[in-house]
Amino acid sequence: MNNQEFEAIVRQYEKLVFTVCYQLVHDYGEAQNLTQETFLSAYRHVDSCQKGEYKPWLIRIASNKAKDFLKSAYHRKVDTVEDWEALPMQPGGSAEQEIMTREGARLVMEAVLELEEPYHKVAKLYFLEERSVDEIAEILGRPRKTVETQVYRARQKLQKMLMERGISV
Amino acid sequence: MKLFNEEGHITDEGFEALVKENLDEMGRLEVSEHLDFCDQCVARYSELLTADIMLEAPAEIVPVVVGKIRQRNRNIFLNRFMKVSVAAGLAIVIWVGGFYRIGILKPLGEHPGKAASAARSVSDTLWNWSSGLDKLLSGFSSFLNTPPTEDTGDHDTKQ
Repeated sequence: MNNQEFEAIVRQYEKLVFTVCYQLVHDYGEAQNLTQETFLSAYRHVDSCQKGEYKPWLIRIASNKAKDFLKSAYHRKVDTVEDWEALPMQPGGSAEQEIMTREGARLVMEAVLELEEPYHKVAKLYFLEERSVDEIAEILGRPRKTVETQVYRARQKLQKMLMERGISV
Repeated sequence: MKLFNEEGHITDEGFEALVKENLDEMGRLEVSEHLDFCDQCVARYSELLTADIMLEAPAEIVPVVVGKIRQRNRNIFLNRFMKVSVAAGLAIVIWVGGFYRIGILKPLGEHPGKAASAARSVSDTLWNWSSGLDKLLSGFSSFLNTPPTEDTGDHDTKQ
């Protein structure tokens, strides 16, 4: 594909990509930056997309760019990177062990089962079946990084739920 | 509102909230993470993105993208050109130096025939190198019109 052909694709799909970016980030300026990044990324990998499949392919790239942006924005707001990286990611870590060995094994299990998707299956496999992140990624067909993120957020949600039920975590 | 169903896919309600811009930040993050790997939900989202709900970008996207692509191609070309030039220069230096080291090139008085032949070889090599450079430069415009196939290392997704 030459530059003229790619330019035609940019013209054809610029509104689509901008719409996806805006619907995900809710910021005009950032959506515009992400739209440009999406097309630059698409240009580098254009050979990996079959002709006529550009729409879903561009949506995926755009949502990936939006995901990266939202993730960094979320971390800036919620916690520091150090907190994120310091958390143990293997089952049976001290926080989990402490909870399990203290008063609330049954309550923890109930809380895990109460979690909604996209955390329910991940939390069940991780906290109750003690599967590793890699195993969960394989079982659920999700990227490893996504599973890590979901385990992290599931843990936060569980901590909140347990604290609301009077269990100190 | 239930954003994901029991199978872990985005619900109709979730898509509606996304399209109508009613999702909170965490919901949008979860949706974007899911769209990153789920073909089924990307296909559904794609169907929902019809012409009537498309947004107009506040500034022109095409000129900026095309400009950045051209700039990137120019940088790649210049990098390659520099590498080729340095490699060719080094090759000539080593080659000519090597002739002296192994004794093929001697002062004219001692081996005039060999010296003249070596000089011709050097001259031919320089000529070939120059022709190659000309071809490289003439191919510059076609190079700019061809997207590179290699990944240059920036972070990306499973496209």
